[in-house]
Amino acid sequence: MKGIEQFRNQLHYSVYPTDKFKTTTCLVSFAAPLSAETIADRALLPYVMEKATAAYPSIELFHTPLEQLYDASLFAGASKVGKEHVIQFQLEVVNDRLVGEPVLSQAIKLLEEVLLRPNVYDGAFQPLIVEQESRLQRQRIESVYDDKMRFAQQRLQELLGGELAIPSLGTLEQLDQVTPRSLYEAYTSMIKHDRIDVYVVGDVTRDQVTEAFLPLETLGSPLVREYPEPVDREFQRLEEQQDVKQSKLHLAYEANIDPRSEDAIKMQVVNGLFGGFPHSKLFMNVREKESLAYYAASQYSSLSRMLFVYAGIDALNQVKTEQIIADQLADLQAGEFDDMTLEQTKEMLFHQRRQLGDSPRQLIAWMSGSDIRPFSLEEEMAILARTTREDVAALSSQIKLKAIYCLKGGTA
Amino acid sequence: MKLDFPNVGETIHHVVLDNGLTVYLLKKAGYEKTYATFTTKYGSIDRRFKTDDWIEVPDGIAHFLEHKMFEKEDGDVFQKFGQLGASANAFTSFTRTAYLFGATSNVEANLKTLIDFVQDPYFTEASVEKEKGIIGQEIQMYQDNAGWRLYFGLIEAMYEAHPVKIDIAGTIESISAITAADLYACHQAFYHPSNMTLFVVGNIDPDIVLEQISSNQAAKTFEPPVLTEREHVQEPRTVRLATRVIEMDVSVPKVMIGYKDTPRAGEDGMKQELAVELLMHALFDTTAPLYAELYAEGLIDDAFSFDYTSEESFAFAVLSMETPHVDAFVARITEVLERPLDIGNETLDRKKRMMKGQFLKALNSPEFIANQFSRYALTGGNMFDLPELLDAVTLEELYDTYDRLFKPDQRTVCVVKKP
Repeated sequence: MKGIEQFRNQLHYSVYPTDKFKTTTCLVSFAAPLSAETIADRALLPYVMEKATAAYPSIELFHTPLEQLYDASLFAGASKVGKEHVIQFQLEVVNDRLVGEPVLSQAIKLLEEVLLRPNVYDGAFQPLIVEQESRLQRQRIESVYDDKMRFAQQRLQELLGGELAIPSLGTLEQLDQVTPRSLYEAYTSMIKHDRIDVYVVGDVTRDQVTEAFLPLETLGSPLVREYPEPVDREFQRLEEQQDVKQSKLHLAYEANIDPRSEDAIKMQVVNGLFGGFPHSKLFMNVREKESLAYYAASQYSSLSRMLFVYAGIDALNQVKTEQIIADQLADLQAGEFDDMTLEQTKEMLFHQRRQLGDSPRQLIAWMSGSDIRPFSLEEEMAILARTTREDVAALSSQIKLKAIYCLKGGTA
Repeated sequence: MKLDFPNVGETIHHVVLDNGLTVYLLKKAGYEKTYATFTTKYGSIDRRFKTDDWIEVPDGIAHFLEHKMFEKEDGDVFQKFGQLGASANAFTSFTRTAYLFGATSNVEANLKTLIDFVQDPYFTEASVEKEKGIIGQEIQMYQDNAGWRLYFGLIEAMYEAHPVKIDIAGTIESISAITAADLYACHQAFYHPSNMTLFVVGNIDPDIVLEQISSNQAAKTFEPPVLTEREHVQEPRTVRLATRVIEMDVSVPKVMIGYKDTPRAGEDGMKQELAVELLMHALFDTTAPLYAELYAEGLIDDAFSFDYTSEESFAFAVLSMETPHVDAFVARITEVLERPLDIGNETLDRKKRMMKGQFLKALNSPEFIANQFSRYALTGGNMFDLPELLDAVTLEELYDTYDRLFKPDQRTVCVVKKP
């Protein structure tokens, strides 16, 4: 994307100055190697940190100034990204010129309170907040069971093992080990050892950003990004029964393609043709032609070198649906799709990229993803444009089915 | 007509064409995408209406019609948008059906596709039958969704007669009765240009887009509108049921507390909506005294949310929470809402700043502008008046709102939990 300025002091900055939005959005991201040992602490930490600080030691006291600043919104969260665990703090503030007050600088000061002066006493976070947030985290972990699509995907990933099998919030047993003190240790480690990236989109200049984030410059350490390696897996199948009306069929394919290569970009064309769009083979055949499902789609995760397929079906149709899914992949491998569908897929991928620039959050998501990929937006569009039928056939032939999970409803 | 709203930094062009179609155009400089919505004031609640005679149609037909509009003699309209590089979608609510696309190229061709496909129905008995399988799966999917069951279970228990109590998608039984003739009748009644609003937002030249829309419409002929009346159901102020329990296999019980309100239309509706929202923010935000109390007791957390729904013929407030301690949560909330209100001007002013900030932030999104502007426009309001209306809300109005809304006999509690 043209106009993005990237530079490094102690922290790594990506700044996109623009006045087309009503807001300025800042994201500070902390990355550490993914580990089952630390994930429960790190997953809970952002929820505890965003609730209060040393100077504003309760939710009520901390959120009052945020409301006063025209709802300056602070979101904290954690996620798995390939082999890394990432904790993010995002601040979104209405532009000063719209309200005639310097709200951005005041809001960034509040963000710095969160990051530098948390609500810690004697080497531990405040017990009341930790207790309440742990309880809620427990509910979040348990509630995966209620969202059958997420449940089925988690079960599928458990079959695959490795980083994919680590639940993003940790397990209930791991959560039980988290204490106000262990959280503080996780915090100390985060601000000392994590790689810190700062992203800003909005009505700012590079100098303003550098100055505003100066207090964070002593934090973090350079951490080289690690990428998941190809894994040898045997095919596995698991079927489970629950009292649900709609069965969930989830498939995992291995796609051993370097996430930094041109082929990883071209794989998005493969995914688009397979199940990425409403004109894709899965949507057209499983849903439209056979009326077997309300949804049938695929998703490509370049970092984890996987392609996932999921469909919501009637349990009676499982065998038939699996066959149709296999037939669609065979068609791609044989290069059987028309020129118009290929062009349409590219057009949709172009469209997704062009519209990034209209949303601060999407822009930031793009900027953080582009740290992984070596291509500019324009280069990616060029790679997509020159993807041929032969490329699609060759890449889809590298896809290998490795796991099937089916959560079956009562009717079968 | 060009309307400037300098306090939000937007300008809108508004025209009503000869055939009655309302058109709004908004230029977003620097944006890549153009987004258009074509909305009819027709939703799931419009189940009985008058043309020559009174007609009663099967539940779920507005949503069914929305699905079927995409299928034409020469193929699927989704594909046509796709070939033009656009992503298209549609949704049906209680009161509206909207068709939309977002495109970063071929805007003129996409806009023509949008207008033409919505104004050109094509239904056959065979294609209607096939759709019943797809929508049947959609209904099943929602039946497994505890949040959906909770929300519709609550509304169904709150309302005595108003058709808002019927699930938007209908039931597998109700949609089985739908015929191609029913779909044509509904299209003729509700998709007349005079019942519709077209909103285009993006990096557009409003004059050129208006010219395109006008000449497209001038080249078509429309019969005079046939819809003469919609059913107005008498709904009591009080709720039908005070409590309802839905048994489902959920790990954590979910609860919704609903308060039925008296609906208002147009600008009065907007004022009422703002007053209720300010009041609910003052009562239930993380900065409210109630929140701190319940947080310390372990009865409230990030899973808590609240919302106010306001349409011409119905309005209700909803508080929702997931907790193993449903009874304690409900007891504490209802007990606090029966105490006299205690809010001062400091809180009101802070909540106004907060809601103004939320509104300004939302204006980053062309989707928000088009969808919400159309929602207000279809009931006679102007979304860009919101900041001024917000400023005008008084403390007294909040006290009046509190007394009107939070009455025990207007309350329904709905719970989803394990058997």
